[in-house]
Amino acid sequence: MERIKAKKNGFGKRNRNRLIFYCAFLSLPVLQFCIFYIGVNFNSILLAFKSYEYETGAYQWVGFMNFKEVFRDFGSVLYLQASIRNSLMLYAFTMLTTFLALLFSYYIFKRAPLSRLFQTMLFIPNIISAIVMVTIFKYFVERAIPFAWEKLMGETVQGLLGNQKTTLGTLIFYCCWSGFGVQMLMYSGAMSGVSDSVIEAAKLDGITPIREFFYIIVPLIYPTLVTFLVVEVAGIFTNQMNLYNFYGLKAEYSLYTFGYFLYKEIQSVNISGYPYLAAMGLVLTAVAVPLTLIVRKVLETVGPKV
Amino acid sequence: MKKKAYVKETTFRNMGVFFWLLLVILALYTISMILPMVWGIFTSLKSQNEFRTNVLWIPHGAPWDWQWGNFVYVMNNFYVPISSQTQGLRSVGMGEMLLYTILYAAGGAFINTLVPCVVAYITAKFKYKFSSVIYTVVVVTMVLPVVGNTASELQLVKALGIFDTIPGNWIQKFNFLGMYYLVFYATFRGIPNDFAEAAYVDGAGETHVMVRIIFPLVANIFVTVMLIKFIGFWNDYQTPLLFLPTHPTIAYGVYYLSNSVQQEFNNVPMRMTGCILMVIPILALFLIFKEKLMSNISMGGVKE
Repeated sequence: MERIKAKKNGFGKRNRNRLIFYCAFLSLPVLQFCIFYIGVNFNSILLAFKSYEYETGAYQWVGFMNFKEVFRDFGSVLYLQASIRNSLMLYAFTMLTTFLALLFSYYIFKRAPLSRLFQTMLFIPNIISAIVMVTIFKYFVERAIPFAWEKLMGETVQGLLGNQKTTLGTLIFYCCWSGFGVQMLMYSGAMSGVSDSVIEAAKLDGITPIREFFYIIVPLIYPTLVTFLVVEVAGIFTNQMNLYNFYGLKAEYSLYTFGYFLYKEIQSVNISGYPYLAAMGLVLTAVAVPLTLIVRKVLETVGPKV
Repeated sequence: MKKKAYVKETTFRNMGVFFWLLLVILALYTISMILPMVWGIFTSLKSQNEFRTNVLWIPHGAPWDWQWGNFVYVMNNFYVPISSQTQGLRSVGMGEMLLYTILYAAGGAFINTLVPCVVAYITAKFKYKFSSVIYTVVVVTMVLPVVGNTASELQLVKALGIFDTIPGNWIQKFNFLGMYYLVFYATFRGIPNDFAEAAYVDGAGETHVMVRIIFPLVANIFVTVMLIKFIGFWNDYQTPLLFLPTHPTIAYGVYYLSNSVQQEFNNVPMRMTGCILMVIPILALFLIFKEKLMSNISMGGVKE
């Protein structure tokens, strides 16, 4: 009896120690989460209903004034209208990049010639800092390409970024060109999980690589594809299209995206500008959350059933 | 083994039109990637005068006559002017920027890897209800995008008195949210409890089991995640620009250099030199750990 009691006490002590350990190691991360996630977002909501008063040096409640300003600006301000257009356009081109990334990943998955080299080259933009990549690219298209064109064709041309007709296209091209790395790793990783027996059976039936790609590989990695496309919806509201890397605070209004606008503003405004930005963030979140859920639902509904 | 033999069969000989087409596109992509980089390296080895007449080609003269001094010049003379209320106006040189970069990138990467790892271990191995709450929180915060809360974060960080301090930035990075929590969580779930049980029987405590028994089993994944984060933080200049304005990192410096109006740096060769200087360490790191990084990462995460 005493032995059972002692054993019970031993378990009780161990459970207590486990609980203490559990609480001790979780308390700080949970506290950090409460302050820097819940606190920050809660404060962001409150901030959206306030305005900074210089006379008192404090924030005052102003109701929906900031929201009214945000909606008014959406209807009248050029750079916000450009932000909507450019952010959506960038998302559309991301879809195109996704298709190419799938094809490239398939090439790498099949270990076709030079696939190791291509894998490294596709991943390089994720290793080299965006500011370095952009600086080199910027001067390459502004100085080297016009110089080469002049030598070859005998006519002087503007740089691709300097020419207003090609600026937006060049920026979008850059984003697509440098954006294959993570997708390629994701998709080739998912492809390596496809069962050999499925591919082998299809091979015995004489399947061609194109049919194998569209009818076996894509349907089997579809959940990974959905994950990426859903995550990218948030990118509509956060992607800067590398504008800050290219132009700092000086990008033209017609090139703005939401991501650039929000970052640039936070860089340039003082604390009196925070409430407006918080209201803008809240409005964009109110669009982004349902849009993300809808896109996910649609992609899951229309996707192939495996 | 079977798989390896299977995928090996795509060679130049048996490649169809589809693979040839992809090969051509990928080859063009590779050229388009290499060309600006090589141009950038050659440009960094020219003088400003030479660049005016020789924009495109390799620098004139023998390689030992090229402007290698550009690198020394940038290392010794480039600085970022910083203005703060406590210290007034001062200049931060490359050495100090490197120190801030190491503190920011290495410290941040370690903390930002350790915290998800510890939280994932505890929530995966301790079956309390709160563990599933944490797991759900991570998944929900990943799925639901929150936009534009930086103003609030900035305000909060200033209110807490940790704005513009390296330890303050480490506190900001002391979070477990994100994909790598899920990577660690899946890994810990896959480790049988037998190891820990055996240690408990020998009288080991919880901390001993976690640090000495379980963590060594995930050391490979830990290092990979930390490397990915280190590279990300090394390259990041927008966070330091916002949260550490008087602690410029090297990436911050390159951003400043690329927009600099200082006469001696307001030219293409010097800007290219700054870029190449920043890339060298991270490229070396990538080449050393390439296999680990490329083969361990899967689904944007890490293979077990």
